[in-house]
Amino acid sequence: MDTLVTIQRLTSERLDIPTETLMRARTFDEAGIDSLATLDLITTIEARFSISIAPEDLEGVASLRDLATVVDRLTTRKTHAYEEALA
Amino acid sequence: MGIRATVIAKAYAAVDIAVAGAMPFAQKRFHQGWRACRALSGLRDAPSGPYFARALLASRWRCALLLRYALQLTRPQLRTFLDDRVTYEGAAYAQHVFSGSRPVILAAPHYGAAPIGFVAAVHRMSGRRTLNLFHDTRHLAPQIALLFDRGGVDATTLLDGLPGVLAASRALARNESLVMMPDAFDDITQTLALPFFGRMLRVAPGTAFFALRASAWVVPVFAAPGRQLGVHVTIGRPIDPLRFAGLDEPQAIFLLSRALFTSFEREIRRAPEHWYNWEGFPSVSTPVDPPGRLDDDAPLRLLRDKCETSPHLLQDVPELEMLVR
Repeated sequence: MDTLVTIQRLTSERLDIPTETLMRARTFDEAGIDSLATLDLITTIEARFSISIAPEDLEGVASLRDLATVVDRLTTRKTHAYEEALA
Repeated sequence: MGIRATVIAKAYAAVDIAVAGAMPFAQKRFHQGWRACRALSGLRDAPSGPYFARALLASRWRCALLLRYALQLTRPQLRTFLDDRVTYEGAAYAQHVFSGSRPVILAAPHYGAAPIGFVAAVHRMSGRRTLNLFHDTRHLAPQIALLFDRGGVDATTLLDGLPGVLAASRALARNESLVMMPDAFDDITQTLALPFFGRMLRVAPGTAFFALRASAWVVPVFAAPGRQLGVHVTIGRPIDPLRFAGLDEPQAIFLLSRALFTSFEREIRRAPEHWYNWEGFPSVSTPVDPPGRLDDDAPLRLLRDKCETSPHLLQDVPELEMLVR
């Protein structure tokens, strides 16, 4: 859940939405985040976690929690790829 | 050319007669033209009347026949059709845009011949073959996909929502072309209100947003069926987002969208029967109150009083003097 907290903080900073609102909201809509605003957020997250998010990764993503799950999955995949390259 | 294509061509030639014959018999509620007229009856600045109803029905029939006809053609025949049966207007304006190094957004209102118009536009654009289209299902309708394939268009479908937005942004970053139809009103969560046909129309800001972010040219494209078998493609004057570079983003999005819908309105006024959204137009737009009387000079009197009480205003803005003296 560290990822979710980080993403909530980044979202709050980037889109100027109070963290409390983001914690309460179950969807992007409830948080007042539209798809165009999310584009900025994706760029920020990619830079922060050093990952690349593909459009297919975002299918079914409707909340910051879903987004955090995607980021966790991509981070894990990147770590595995790095370890395999070292082995 | 096959027998079917020949029959469709004959039917196309007879559309005006068929529509005229259908008018006295068609039930008004089943007649697309009359339905549009009924929806627009309370609007001050919208087309109406039997001529419009008939022209609208003829346009719908022609578009349906055109699509069927184009689907009967082989790849070389379709190319010949695009060369011989498609006329272009305004293409010279956009030539430098199509051959330039910046991404392009083709923005089209909902016209029935739009798919053929996109194929024709790609045929006209040298070196640009990939079109990214927003679509509400994973795949294009098989017929449209077939048309694009035969027309030599590498069409990529973008999903709605977040994946589509990200994919569109990436496509523009790769200098590809994006096709958008900004007059879609099905599911708009964030909207702008723009003047359109004397009303304020709710529109999605996506086209302007992408154009500004990617410095992409916005090229209005209109594809109308001809009276003879064929399509007339009008390419509007390209809109350069760099014109709005000095403004903050919401302001720039508004002004670019306004420029685009002004271009749409100008073209739709020339031939209103081709626009598909007339029936829904009243429900997605709001009437604008008539302006105040021209002899109402209250704002001017207020300004004059302000200038008298604060003379430095005239020193700071010398042009005010022309208004208040």
